[in-house]
Amino acid sequence: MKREVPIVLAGIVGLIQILEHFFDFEAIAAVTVELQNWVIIVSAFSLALAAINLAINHTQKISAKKAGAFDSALLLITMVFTAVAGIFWGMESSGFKFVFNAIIDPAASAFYAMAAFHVASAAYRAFRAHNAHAAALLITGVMLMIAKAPIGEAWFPWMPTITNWIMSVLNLAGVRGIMISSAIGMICVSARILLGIDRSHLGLGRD
Amino acid sequence: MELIRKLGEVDPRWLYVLLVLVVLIPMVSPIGLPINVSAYTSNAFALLDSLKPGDTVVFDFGYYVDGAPDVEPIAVALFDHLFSKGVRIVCVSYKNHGPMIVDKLTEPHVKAGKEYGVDFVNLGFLAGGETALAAWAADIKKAYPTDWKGNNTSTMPILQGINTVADFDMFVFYTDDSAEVWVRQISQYKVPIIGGLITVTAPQAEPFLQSKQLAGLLVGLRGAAEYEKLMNKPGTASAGMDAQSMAHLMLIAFILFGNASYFIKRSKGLAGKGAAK
Repeated sequence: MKREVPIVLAGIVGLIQILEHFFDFEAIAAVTVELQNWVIIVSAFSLALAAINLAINHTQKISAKKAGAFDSALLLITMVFTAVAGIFWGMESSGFKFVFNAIIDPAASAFYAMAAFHVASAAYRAFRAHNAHAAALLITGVMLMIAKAPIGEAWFPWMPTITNWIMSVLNLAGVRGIMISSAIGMICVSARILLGIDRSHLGLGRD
Repeated sequence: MELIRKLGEVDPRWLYVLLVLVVLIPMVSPIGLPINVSAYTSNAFALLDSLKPGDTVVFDFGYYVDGAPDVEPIAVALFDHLFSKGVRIVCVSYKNHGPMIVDKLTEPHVKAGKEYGVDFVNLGFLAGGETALAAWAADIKKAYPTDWKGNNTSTMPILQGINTVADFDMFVFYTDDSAEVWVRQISQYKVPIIGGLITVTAPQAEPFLQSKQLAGLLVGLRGAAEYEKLMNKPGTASAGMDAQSMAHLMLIAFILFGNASYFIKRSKGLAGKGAAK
């Protein structure tokens, strides 16, 4: 019973979603919207559950004085402050806005900007024409870098024509191939889940 | 020869210092390099420019603030353009940073006289990813009974006559991720979709443009700078293009130095075939 009920439920819900997509039945459409709204509610609860789980894990880490306990304390303090600011003072309060605009926004932007340094360093150290494949990748990469920057276009006005061809013919063919094959794979995986053959999403393992 | 070989072995920390300089200097003292407008941007601009006063458009914010430097200038330019045309904007958020980003981006327009609930609305974030997107696309007021501020959406002037995504005149999404989610869930409603993407994910979205599942694409900081040029209103994106040009040039130079050094060493038998350095 414990095994069968979730499998049957997943199959029925999946079937309703598929029927709604391909057929114009008002009753099924109404059920689909209802089910999708349930997902929103369940997802919201799972976010709350994740926050509680995070708090428990880090509290245990602090009480056990494990390595990284200071970071855990910092995480808990900021998490509680953000939650209090959002729940009690409101999301338009200066406290909540301060957390987002003065901490999250600049810190996240700084992390993203740091990727530029890693890319620069990696390109310099590892982007070498070791063989024909690597040389092709290197030449294409450099051409795209030239074409995407205004200075490259100013110096080599013919470059965008070549790079546009690379993007709209070579790239498109490759991406389309990957997308179609992954879509077919997705259909197969979905069919296995809906038919109860693949039960890994329920933590039951594969048959 | 020895100098070139040494240039291929520079300590990466010098590279970092140089990168900071080549980005900072053009920002302080702009070079003013000409920006050519790509067909993607001009097509997207023409579509958005064809909107009439009173039309209603969705802006779906699907990026976190760490992706903002590349995609947010597009949103800034589109807010400016559409508000100047009297188009109404319904903002939703696919990712949880969205509501705060919308708040930040609409603040100058509120100061300029745009009215909340009439000219624009911030509906907020719904947990549930793609399923949540499908849910609100099918019945917006059911999925969003209240906006981010707790106002009732059923009585909101901007949402009168709007029940599903098909009731909007255009759908614009901004993402630091793949465009597939929006193509899967929104294209069935036959509303023109325009994607604002970060530069690295744009190549994956090109097949959707060719299949006409996407009506337009705006790509990264460059796309925003091109859009600003078409609006005749240079902004932050245009200012960033000189810095991007210089950074690209510096990287190309160092890639060339690295390769020249590698081949010199290889010819002397100092580097094995397939060695990383």
